[in-house]
Formats: sequence, C-alpha cells, structure tokens
Amino acid sequence: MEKKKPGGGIRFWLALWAAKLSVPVLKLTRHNGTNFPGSVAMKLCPDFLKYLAMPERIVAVTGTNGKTTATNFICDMLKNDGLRVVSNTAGSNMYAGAATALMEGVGIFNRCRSDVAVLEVDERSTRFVFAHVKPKYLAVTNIARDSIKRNAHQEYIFDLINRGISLTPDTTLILNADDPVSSFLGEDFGGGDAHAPNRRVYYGMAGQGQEAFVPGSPDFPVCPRCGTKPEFTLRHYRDIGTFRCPGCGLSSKPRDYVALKLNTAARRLTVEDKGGEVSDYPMLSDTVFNAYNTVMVIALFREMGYSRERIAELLGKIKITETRFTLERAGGLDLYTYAAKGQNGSAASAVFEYLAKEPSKKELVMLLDEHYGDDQRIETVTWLYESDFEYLVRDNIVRIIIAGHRYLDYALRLRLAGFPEDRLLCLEDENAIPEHVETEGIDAIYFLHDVYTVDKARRLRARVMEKLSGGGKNEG
Amino acid sequence: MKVELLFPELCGLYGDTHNAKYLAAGIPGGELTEARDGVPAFVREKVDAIVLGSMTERNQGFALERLMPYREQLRDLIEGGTVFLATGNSMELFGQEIRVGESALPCLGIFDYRSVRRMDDRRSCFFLGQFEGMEIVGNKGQFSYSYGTEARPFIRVTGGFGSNPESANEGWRYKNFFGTYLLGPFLPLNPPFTRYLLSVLGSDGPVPFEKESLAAYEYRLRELKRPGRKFLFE
Repeated sequence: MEKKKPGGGIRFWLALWAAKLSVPVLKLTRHNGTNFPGSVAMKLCPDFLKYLAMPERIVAVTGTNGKTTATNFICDMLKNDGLRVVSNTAGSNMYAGAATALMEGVGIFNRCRSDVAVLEVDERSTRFVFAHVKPKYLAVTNIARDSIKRNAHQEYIFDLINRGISLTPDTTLILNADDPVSSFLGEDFGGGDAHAPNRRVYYGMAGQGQEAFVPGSPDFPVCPRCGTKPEFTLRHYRDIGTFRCPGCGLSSKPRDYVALKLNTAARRLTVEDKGGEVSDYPMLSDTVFNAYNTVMVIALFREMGYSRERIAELLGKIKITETRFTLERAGGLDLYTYAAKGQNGSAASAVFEYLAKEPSKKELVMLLDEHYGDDQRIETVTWLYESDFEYLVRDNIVRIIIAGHRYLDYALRLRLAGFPEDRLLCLEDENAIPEHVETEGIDAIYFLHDVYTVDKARRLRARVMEKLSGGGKNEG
Repeated sequence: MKVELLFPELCGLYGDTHNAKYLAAGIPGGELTEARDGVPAFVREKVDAIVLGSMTERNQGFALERLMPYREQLRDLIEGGTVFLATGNSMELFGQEIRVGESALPCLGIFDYRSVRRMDDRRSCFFLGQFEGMEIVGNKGQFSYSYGTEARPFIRVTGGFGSNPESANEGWRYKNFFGTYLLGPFLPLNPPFTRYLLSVLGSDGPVPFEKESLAAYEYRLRELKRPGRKFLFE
C-alpha cells in the first residue's frame, strides 16, 4: 500500500527522471551509494519529497549514538521477513540521502514499489525530512554530547528533533526511557514547541548489577524543568539509567518494554512486554549499547504487530558485521582495532570506560585525529575536555601512544587527567608508531580509531604484526 | 586561595569546567570550591577567583535565577578586583539582557552590553587575537551575540570574529573581569594568559604542565598563522 500524493507538475517529473537516470550513470562510473540522485532531484524540484510516492509504512531512526547499527538491524529483519525495503543505509542520513532512498523505491511513473522504508535521519535533519516524510514510527536511540561543530549541545538537538516531531503528529515515538534527555522528546521545556500529541512507547533496561563510572561531563547534568542536579539510582553507562530530580520530582519514564536480564555469555536477552509477557531473544553482540538497540528494535516490531516468536526468529537470522573491533594475534599479544568515535565526548568516554574495565594489561594507540591541512576537517579540541581521559589512569592501561596532528593537545589533556608522563608517548608522525610499540608487560594492544581512520589503524597494526614477526589470524 | 567553579552542572558545556581546575592547579595551595544547595560559594566564604563557562540557553535562565539575589554582591566583588573568567555565553549573564525574538531575558545588569540570541543563526570559528601583547587562541560557536562591548573589549580579533559578527573586538574586560565567547579549555590552551591571570592572583609560578601547554600553544599558533588559513566554519 502506498500513500497517494498529488502530482507535482513538470518540475517533479523532470526531477524524478533525472534522478532515476543518474543511478545507472553513477553505477557505470562506480559512484554507488552517493546522494547525488536525491540532490539532483531536490535541485530541480525543491518540494520533490512532497510529490514522491512513499510506502505506507516508514520507520525513521535518529539519535546521537547507535542509529546506524539500529537502522541496519531493522532493515535486515524486514528484508528477512520477505518485505521490499528501501533504506539510506548505504548513503547519507541527511535530506538528500532520504530523498535518494525513497526515489529508489518508486518506478518511473512514481508508483511505489516498496513495502516499507527505513530511514536513518540525522538529528539536525529531522525538521527538514519530516516536512514531507511522515514516518509511522520514529525510534530514537539517545541524545548525548557530540561534535560541537555539528551538534552544539544536547538541548539544541533535543529542540531540533522536537521541531521535526511537531511536523508529524501521527508518528509513534519509540523512546529510550533510560536516556533522561531523549525520553522527554515530544515534551516542551521551553524550546518553543508545545507538548506534541504523538503516541509514545518507552523501552529500557533493568539494573544488571553493574557499576558505571560517573561521567565528568554528564549528558544530563540538570533537570530540564527546574535546573536542579538529578539523582541517579541506576546507571548502565554515562547518564543512561534511572533518575529523579530532587527539585521538582521529574523522573525517568516508566518502560513499556524492559530488558530484564542480559546474558552476555549466551548472548540472550529477556524482555518483558507492556502486557507483562516475558520472552527470550537473541542478543546481537555482548555490549550494553547493542542490548539497547536490540530492545528498541523489539519494541518497534511489537508495535508494528509482530509476534514475540517471529521477532526472536528474525533477530536470530541477523548476521551482524562487527565493525566495533577486529582482532589479530601476533607475538603472543591480542592486537585490536577498536572504534572510538573522536570529536564525540560521550562515545569516546564510553569506550574509555570499557577499556578501563576490561582487565587485560594493554597499550593504547590513539588515532582519533582528523586530517591535517584541511581547515574545515580539523575540528576543535573541546571534545578532549568533555571526554573522560581520567578513566584511563589505571594500572591495566600500561602505556598510551598518541599520534597525529593533535598530539600535543592529547599530551596536555592526558597529563591533566593524571596519566604518568613516563607511560605516555606523543608523536606527530603516525608512521613512526610501530617502532615505538613496546610489548613488555602487556597482553594486548588496542588501536583506537575514528570512522575515518579505520584503514590507517589496520595498516599500522599490520606493520606492528610484522615487527612482532607474524601470528595467526583469529577473528574479525 | 580559592577558585570558585560556579555552577558546573549548569555551566559545564564543551569542557569549560577545566578552566577553573587549571587555574586552581596553578596556584600554590590553590583550592577549588563550589556552590552548595544552589547558593554560590562566594556568598559563604571569601573566594579569589570566580570561573564560569558555556551553558545551554535554558540553563542561562536557571543560572540567572540563582544569581539574581546576589547581583549587588557580584557587583561589589567585581569592583573590588576579584578575578572573574566567564567563557562562552556565560559572559552574557553580566550584561543588561538577552533578547530572544520579541522578548528579553533580564540579566544581572552589571555591565552595559546587551545580547541577542538567534538559534537559527549559529556561527563558529577558530580564533586568533591579541591581549596586552599576548596572542590568544581558541575557538567559538555562538547562537547569541553581544552588542555594546566595544567600550571595554577584552581581545582584539586578528582571526575569526568578535562578540558579534561585525565586531573586531572579542569579549569584555573590566578591572579583573574577563568575559569572552571563546569556549572550552580556554586557559589550558592559552598558557601566556593563564600566567597573566595567575600573576593577578599573586602567583608567579609556572602554569600547570607548562611544557606540554606551551608546546601545544605554539603549535596551534603556527597553525593559525599559516598563510591562507581559514577561520570560519562552513
């Protein structure tokens, strides 16, 4: 079933055909996965999405951390259920990316050929995308500290998403009850939009007996209603947990879908529905972050009418590509590449907490820099001061090697955090890393990389492996 | 000597809280102090410096609510030479008002400048400037802009923009009050200015981790002075 839309005149048809024509041209020139078709369409017809046929069921996913992984889960599950799915997982999560994906779901006469669209939507783009795209469901992972350049601060992002939500009142919001920021989406704390009428569903996780570190730069430092510092009774990580404001009584939302138990060894997750039914589901990886993604997806699919058994079946079919880390062994050491997301204090701190708690004696090689010589890509260093480098001041973090353009800024930050000078090496030239790696007294080396530095991390690890005179490949 | 980190839960964006920590660490026997139950430390004890940082727009309202009862005391402290460092949009609290569309948020009214908030007009830049022969580096990201700061500017802009897009001057300086839209770890990034501030506080020692701080500062200076260097973010 598709949403019928009025015709957009000659501009729309020209835009659609030009965009359609550009797809094979891009394939021939090996430029797959770009947003060019959507950009072309928008240029020729700025209201392109207003006239484009779309499937009745559209699922949108947004949030600071985890939205790409969650979008991939949802797409794979729907495809495994036999549905025709369009998605922007291979392209951009901005307006043009959504336009490209949705355009691919129609024929040249604007007849919808897909059953469902799954769109990852950048937080700042929700207000543009939702002007014409009305998702049936909007799933939100969380809102946390992110790149200052792109996202400023959490309240700004909260208000922008709320502006998007105000354009689509029939959308059901699937919200993380344990995230004190995003769980209040649809509510007005002075950001300019009145309480949204949207139906809301909340997911979350019961305590698992863990003790999370308290963040130095919290994502939810004060109650948005009265400005009082909140009290947390449970923290899963950072400010994800359960809070109550001692000033006005504002507290965490009750959960409709709650993960009662995480069995990370068996990779199983027990979830209680809002009706009180308890079911067991496959867990897609052993991290708490992906447990949240999984319970969000379960809530979404339950709301879409799927049975618990079918959801478990579909989750079980997902082959997750583990992009968070790769592992090789050489010289008796575990050599990891590990994603840490630079410029994002909340994501970096979560990784630092993991590394601090993971008991192996380790050396960290940090490659979180952006590119030298490009003024626009070299961001600020404020995120270094929003990240909890203090977590790394532990005996099991034996040594840290920093390399790249910002090496001196890292050196100062780590020294201010209390990291000992004699266990810290800062180099401008990343290529010099292998000759400085020391293996004495360690079990593992972690090459921490950003989205853009994964290849660099793998190359450097390969050189370190050579230095350690080879070893067997383990897993990826 | 005591450095008050004012309302870190409200004014703790972008790592600005590290300025107070850095300053206190540079003073022999320096101590950080904070508000209790929402009442600033300067109300209950003598403090030598008050440091506050960037905050969200809603938190500006909460901070003003908390500070308004102590407006005269704040004025007296400023007149009496207490060191103030207000980074990011926190300097706006000390002006007359923050205009938001047709309405205005009344501020402490200690200084004459006025601010205008435009959430759909965010501007960011890397920054290079001069203060009393020292070069100041950093970056800014503003949803709001101050007007009327030309009377007592803190920093002369040589790269980037000032208190508002048209201004060649950045921030506000009155006696030992230093207000600037520069945000984040302003003091760790600017060891010469930190040394200056420490001397105002009567300390002539090095800044914390001076070797590392100076090396990063000098590297950044070279970067910002590179011919053809862009300052404004796209």
